[in-house]
Amino acid sequence: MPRSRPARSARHPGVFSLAAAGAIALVLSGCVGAPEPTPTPSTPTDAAEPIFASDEEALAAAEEAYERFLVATAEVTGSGGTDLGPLAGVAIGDANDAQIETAASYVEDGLRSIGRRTFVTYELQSHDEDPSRGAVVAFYVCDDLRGLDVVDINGASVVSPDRVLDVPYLVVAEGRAANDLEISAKDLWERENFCG
Amino acid sequence: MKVQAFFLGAVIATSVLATSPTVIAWSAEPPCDEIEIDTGTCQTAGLVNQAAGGVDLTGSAGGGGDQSRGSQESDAPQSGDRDDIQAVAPTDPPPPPPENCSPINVAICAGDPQPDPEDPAPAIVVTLRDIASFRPAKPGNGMEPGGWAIEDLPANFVAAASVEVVSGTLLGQPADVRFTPVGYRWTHSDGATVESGQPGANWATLGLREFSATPTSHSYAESGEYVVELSVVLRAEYRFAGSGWRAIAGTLSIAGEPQRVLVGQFDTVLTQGDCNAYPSGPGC
Repeated sequence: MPRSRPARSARHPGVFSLAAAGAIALVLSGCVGAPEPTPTPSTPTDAAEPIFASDEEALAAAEEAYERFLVATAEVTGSGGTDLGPLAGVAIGDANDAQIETAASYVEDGLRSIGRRTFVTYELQSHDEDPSRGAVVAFYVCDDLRGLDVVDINGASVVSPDRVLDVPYLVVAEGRAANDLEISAKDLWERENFCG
Repeated sequence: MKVQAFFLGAVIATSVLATSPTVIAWSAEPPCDEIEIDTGTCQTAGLVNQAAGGVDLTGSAGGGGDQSRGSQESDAPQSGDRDDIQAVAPTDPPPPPPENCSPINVAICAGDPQPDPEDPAPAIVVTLRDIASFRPAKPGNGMEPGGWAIEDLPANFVAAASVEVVSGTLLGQPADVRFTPVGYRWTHSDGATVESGQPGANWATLGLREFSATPTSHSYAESGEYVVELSVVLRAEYRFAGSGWRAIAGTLSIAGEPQRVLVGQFDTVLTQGDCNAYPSGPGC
C-alpha cells in the first residue's frame, strides 16, 4: 500500500510580489492561488456537496486510483503492449494517450515487462472540485521500479544497471465519484529527483 | 509517452516598466518516454538519484565584474580575467584590506609620500588638487540578483574597480596617474552602510549558494524600492616620463552609478503548467 506523508498545502496566495515605492508597483506573481477549499457540512440533497470532505480523503482516493493504474499499465506492458484493455476505466486523457504510446513502443521494440512498479506518495499538490471535471487531485509520487523488469523476446533483461529506481512524477487523478477516480495525467518531474 | 513541459509557477518581471511578466520555463521538450524510464536509458535531471535541491533562482545577476571598466595596470600578478575580484574561500573571513584601509579610515589608505631613495625627489609636491584633471573611470556597482532582492535574504553587492592608469599633463609635463582602489562603501537607502576593503565577489566565485551572506552583502528587512550608492576610495600615484611612481598624499573617493534594488517577498509553488496561461491549473 502506498504511504503518504502528511499533506500540506502547496498553494500560496502570492508567489512573488514586489511593492515598489510610490505609484510604481512591480508584482512578480505567476500564481495567484485559488481560494482554499473549505469543506462544509452539507446534507445529501445539497447540490454543491463536495466529493471529498478533506484533502486527506481526496489523496487517499487518488492513491487508490493510481494503484489501479499501475496494475493496469503493468498488464499492458506485460503483454508486450498488445493488450490495451486494462487501461479502460483507469486512465483517461493524456495519461491514457501516453500509455498507448508506451505500449506501441513495447510492441515496436519487441519487449515485455515482468512485475510492476509500486509507488509512494511524496506529497499532495492540490485538490480542487471542478464543476466539469469533478474532483481533481494532483499529487507527487515516487515510482519504485525495483519490482519491474523489461525483457526482450529471448527473455533477456534489457534493463540498464544504472537505471534510476525511484522516479518522481506529478500525477493527476480526477472523477465525479469518490471511488472511481481515473488517472488523467502522469508527468515525469524533470526539475530534480525529489525521491532521494 | 509525451511528457508535458513543466514550468515553475513563478513569474519574474525584470523592470518596473515591464507590462507583461516573463515566465521562466525550465523544460520544453519531453526528455524520455516511459519505456526509456523502464529500461533505464533516460537521462534527465529528474532521473538522478539525489535529494531535491533548492529552487534555482539564478537570474540575470550581472555582478559588478561584468561591467566595463577603464584601462588596467597592476603590479600584482594577475590570475584569470577577474582580476578585480578576489576569490574568497566560503568559510574564511575576507582577507584584511591592505594596511587596514577602509573608507572610515582613509588616512591609512593614503599613499606613503616618502620618495623612493633611488629616485631623487622632485622639487615640486604634487597634490590631489593637481591631478584633478585625471579622472578615473566610474566603478561598476553590480549586485546579484540583478536589481532585485528578497526580503530578509542577503543580496550580494560587487564593485568593479581596478587599478587604472590615466595619462595626461601634470604641471605642464606628460605624466601618468595611477589610481588604486583601496576601500569600498555601499550606502543603502534603508540606512545601512557596508564597508569593505575588498570589492566583493559573486556567489559563484566565492563558492557559495545564492542568497548566502558575503562580506559585501546586505539584507533588506522590508519590501520596497531601494537605492544603493557605491563609493570607492582610491589612492593615487603619479609619474613623469622616465621616473618611478610617487604616491600622492591623501585619498579621493569616486561614486558609481546608483543601483536600484526592488525588494519583495518570495514564495514558490510547484505547478503543472504556466499559471498565466492556465490560471485554474493545479497549484495556481
